[in-house]
Amino acid sequence: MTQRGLRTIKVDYLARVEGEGALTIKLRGDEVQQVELRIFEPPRFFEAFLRGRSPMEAPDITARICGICPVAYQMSACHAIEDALGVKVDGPLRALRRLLYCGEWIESHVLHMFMLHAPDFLGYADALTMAKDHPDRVKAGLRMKKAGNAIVSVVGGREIHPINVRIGGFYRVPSKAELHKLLDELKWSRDASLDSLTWMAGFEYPDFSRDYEFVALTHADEYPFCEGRLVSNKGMNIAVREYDEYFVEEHVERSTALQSSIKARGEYLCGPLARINLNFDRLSPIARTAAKEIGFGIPCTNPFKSLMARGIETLQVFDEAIGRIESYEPPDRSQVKAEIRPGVGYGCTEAPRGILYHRYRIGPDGLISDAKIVPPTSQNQKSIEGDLRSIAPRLAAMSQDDATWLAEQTVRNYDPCISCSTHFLKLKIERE
Amino acid sequence: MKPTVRVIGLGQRVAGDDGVGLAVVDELCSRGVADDVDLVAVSDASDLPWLLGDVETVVMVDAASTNGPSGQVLQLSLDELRDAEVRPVSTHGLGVVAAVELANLLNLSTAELKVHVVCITIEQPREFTTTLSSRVSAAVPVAVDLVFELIGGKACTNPK
Repeated sequence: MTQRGLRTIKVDYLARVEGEGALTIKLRGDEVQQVELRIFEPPRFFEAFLRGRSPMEAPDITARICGICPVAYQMSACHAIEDALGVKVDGPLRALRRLLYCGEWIESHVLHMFMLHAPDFLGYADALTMAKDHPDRVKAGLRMKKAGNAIVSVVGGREIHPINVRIGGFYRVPSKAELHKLLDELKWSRDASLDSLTWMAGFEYPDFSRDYEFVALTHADEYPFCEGRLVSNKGMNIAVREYDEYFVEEHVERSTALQSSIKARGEYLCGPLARINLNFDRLSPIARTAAKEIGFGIPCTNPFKSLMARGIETLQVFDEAIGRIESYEPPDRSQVKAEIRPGVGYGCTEAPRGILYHRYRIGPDGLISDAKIVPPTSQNQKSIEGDLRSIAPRLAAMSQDDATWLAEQTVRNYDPCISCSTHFLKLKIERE
Repeated sequence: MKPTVRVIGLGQRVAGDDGVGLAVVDELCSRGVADDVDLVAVSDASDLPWLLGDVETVVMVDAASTNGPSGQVLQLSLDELRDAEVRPVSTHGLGVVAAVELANLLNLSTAELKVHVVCITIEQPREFTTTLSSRVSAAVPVAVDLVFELIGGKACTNPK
């Protein structure tokens, strides 16, 4: 739309993200006047729901925040409550938790890569249109996702909103036979994910780069899931319990989701691109070798290559899942005993989209008196706006349709989950 | 016996009335169905394409959020459902119609497959509960009767 020199590109609904939101970019020539990511999904008040509830309920309540990453919410809640209760889950139960997390990463990453993001790079409006020309790729994606669903179903009790996770471990541990039934499909999927990675490496990636502060967990000898220190490429190296000292959330009027930043520094990026930049040497040999063979090197500061990062991580978790199952011996107990006591606990785990922080205070009555949950999409909002601000001059030189396409693709680099962050999109670009 | 009919209940048991599709499958299981009827509960529609290939008839039972009263049982065509789907593919998965269309595109199902959709209207889920509201609960036997009608009365006297 053109009005007295003002050109507006408007997309009323940003597809292929979860939740309700909109985006406005105002341009004067090549100069960016304003970039606003507006989130108007209703706030969900989960932190308030948790007050007055038993700490034992936190994993199940918070799992309901998200249908694609419930395990992440369960794991962050478990670790935070266990921190408060002085409980340590290790050995085979810890390994089983990692296996469950592998399942969730597969579900989420594969869905995003094949159904949501690959169409952007290949010029298709959606996965259905892409499936007409690339049926075997889409079918492979669905089959890989099914393999991830199967892990979550067996270990978590069901594929969406698992019910088998509890403070201290699990209600029931799977038998060796139940897990070994998954192996054939997981091995097929590992090969398919390697092949898919080569396919995705051949996509045309926009030439774009920014000086990000990547933030992720890092662990001495594992690719991060549940434990480790919070580190960044700009010198941060803190314990999870120091999170509130370094990060701040603020409300902006245009959004029902809080926006996170690093105190005195500002925006940061979490998720696959941050994880892989900060943990490349923790990848399994097959994933590290594959990354090198497709030419993915670090540092990688092109957010569009988050697709490749997800692909490498997908290979990583298929490989880890196979190894965990092949070496699995059912633990002699399904849980570590946990007794409720007053205290404060901190937990941060790597959800598919990035770090997910939980903090709980348990009062003298043994009930949760205060809860704080910071989802990855909230943490990435400023970085998404930063990317759009940087790419906006390029949008100014594009046709309406092309500009809209690239702006949406820029947002989808982050696989934002607005429903989770509301604690997200309609797109409007105004040009003068 | 190889199934010729598959009844698929879709939903989330922890989202109250959203779990009505699963409740209908539970009730079908209790009443008993013929040996060639396969009953399946599905929470993730991305699993659907794999369930549409080896049978002649599929009945999908799902909750539908509408502006009208809850507890109404509707039989919808895929076209009617397509018009109603807000988001065919999202971060959280596939929509039902998108799943059926993908199955066709990927040759996971055949053009001869008969697909029926039974919807039970619900209010937007707003709380954590594993139980159905009284109005939606009352609709379960009505939906079950409709499913039996759609699958040619394939009931049996020996419940599974």
